Amino acid sequence: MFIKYKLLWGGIFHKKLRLFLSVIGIIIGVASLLLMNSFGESAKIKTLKEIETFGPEVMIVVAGSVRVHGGRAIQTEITTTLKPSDAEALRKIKGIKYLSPVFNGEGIVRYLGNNLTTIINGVNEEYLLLRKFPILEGRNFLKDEILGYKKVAILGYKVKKELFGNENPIGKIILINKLPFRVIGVLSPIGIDASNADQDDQILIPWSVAISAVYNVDYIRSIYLSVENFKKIHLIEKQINKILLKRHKVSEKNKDFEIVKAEDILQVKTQTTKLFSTLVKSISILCLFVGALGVTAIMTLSVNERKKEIGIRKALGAEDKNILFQFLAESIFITFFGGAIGILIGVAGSLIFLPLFDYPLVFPWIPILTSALLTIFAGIIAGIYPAYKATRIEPIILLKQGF
Amino acid sequence: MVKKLVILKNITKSYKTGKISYQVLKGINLEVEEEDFLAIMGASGSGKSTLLNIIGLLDKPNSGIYILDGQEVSKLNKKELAYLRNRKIGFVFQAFYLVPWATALENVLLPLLYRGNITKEDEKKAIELLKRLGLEKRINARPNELSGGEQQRVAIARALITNPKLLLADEPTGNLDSKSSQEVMSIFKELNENGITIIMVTHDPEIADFAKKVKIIKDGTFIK
Repeated sequence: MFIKYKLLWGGIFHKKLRLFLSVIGIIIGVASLLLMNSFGESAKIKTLKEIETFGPEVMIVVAGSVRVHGGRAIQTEITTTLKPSDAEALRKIKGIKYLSPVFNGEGIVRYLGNNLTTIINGVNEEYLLLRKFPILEGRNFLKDEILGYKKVAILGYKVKKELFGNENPIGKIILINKLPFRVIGVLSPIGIDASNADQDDQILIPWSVAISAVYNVDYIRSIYLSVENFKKIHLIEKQINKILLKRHKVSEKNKDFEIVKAEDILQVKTQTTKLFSTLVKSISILCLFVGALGVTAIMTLSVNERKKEIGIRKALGAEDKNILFQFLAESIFITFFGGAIGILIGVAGSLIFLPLFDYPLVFPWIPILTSALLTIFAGIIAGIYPAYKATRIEPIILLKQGF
Repeated sequence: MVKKLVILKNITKSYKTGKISYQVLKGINLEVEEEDFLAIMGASGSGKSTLLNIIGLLDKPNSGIYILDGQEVSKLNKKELAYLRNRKIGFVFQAFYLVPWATALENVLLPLLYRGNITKEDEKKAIELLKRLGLEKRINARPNELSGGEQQRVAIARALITNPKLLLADEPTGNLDSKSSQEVMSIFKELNENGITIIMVTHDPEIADFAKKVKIIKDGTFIK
């Protein structure tokens, strides 16, 4: 039994270096295809996870016009027309669960000898509930602290670590832009959210204090709100739009605010990811087929070199179909061999690079399967021409020393 | 009455090289009886290899009749010819044509690959054949580890594994030294005595002497 297969396929291993060289293209193609596929899968999961931190029931009214670029909402100009009174007006809409005016800016924070620059977010007591940010130590703001302009602060996890290390910060006084604030809480680690902002690198303070004492302005940058029932989000979005247009005395065309939903961010993100992964997948498939072309070239060379072998096989009774299958099988085997190495490299690469770039680890079953099927397909494509050429060789070449 | 294994009637064959056509065989008539040992001699370009190609079903004549073992074969298709080559004919070539990456044993078994399967009995038979040809120590050697004489004996074993009625040899000693040539020829003689019909092409009169009959071909026809 063994001899049968050795006689059928033994020729593949005859020239090992060449075998390896001929499959390099396939290896690269399959490895990159697999790597990109698992990155794509992982990115999808990552995006969904990020969106989860930014629930489907959340909306943001942003002052000025917003461009969503690369999944990131960028405020293109600063507008001063969004006022705290707008937030109060929106609170009257039925179906709104939580609402928080937000004013954010940079601030220099100091505790004893430690200095750092971070994002200062002026919010109210509903913000944490709305964003579903869990508190690690201490407590949330009280309504009275917001209304009463109390200088209290909740620290993001990284800020706490950098300012206090392992020290308990609760009750300690920190300076934000030289103003003293009492620390009342620390957030659990959250990570980067859907707007690409690191939620661990921030300090939350009452918005009333932020606009008055810290930044001295009379406007806010945005209003975060969540709805009771996310199915009604479009309806509520329309109402918000209507109210604000009226209050700001602007038309739809030159409006000075923008409403952003999780849905919008998700859409842009998936579009970008899709475009990127389609591009890379196309290149990988191209690479795979260039690799297949390499196998075709090597196999054609091999057929030419093995004319005598083909001739003798035919003289001994091989039919065209035997020769065709032999060489087709060689091409498929070679391609598949390269594909297998490519899959190994791709899997190893995924396991190494996914955690390295902070992507969730997914084992790429489906990419492995598609890569395997694609290589078999590539092998058949690669093998057709040389196998056909092999069948054209006639055994009379064996006796061609003159007539 | 002795049965005729090969009957050729008025066989012609021409080749085209560019626009010029060469008439290589000009009406060959030949009858070979079973258990015959025929040597066909001729100079280079006389048409002897073309004739052997036709007898060996490796090539088709342009015209004429070829009856092999009672069957008219000049009109058969490629598949049928491959089948007959496998069942009826054994080949021994000047350049041995062993598969370089396969062992002696594997080379001997190659013709059986095209009958479907290679069984344990086939393996035993191949080893027997190699032993009979004095290669018991070379069974697992590759062609490049064998001397010319040994390679040719492997090739003979490969030709015999299918129990052919007809053994065709094309200059079987052409690449061998005189000692190996003598060995190969005595094997041929013994095979012939055991009932195998042999047709051999050679230009060496000493080698032709081993045959029972000698025919000389010149310019596409037999002159003797």
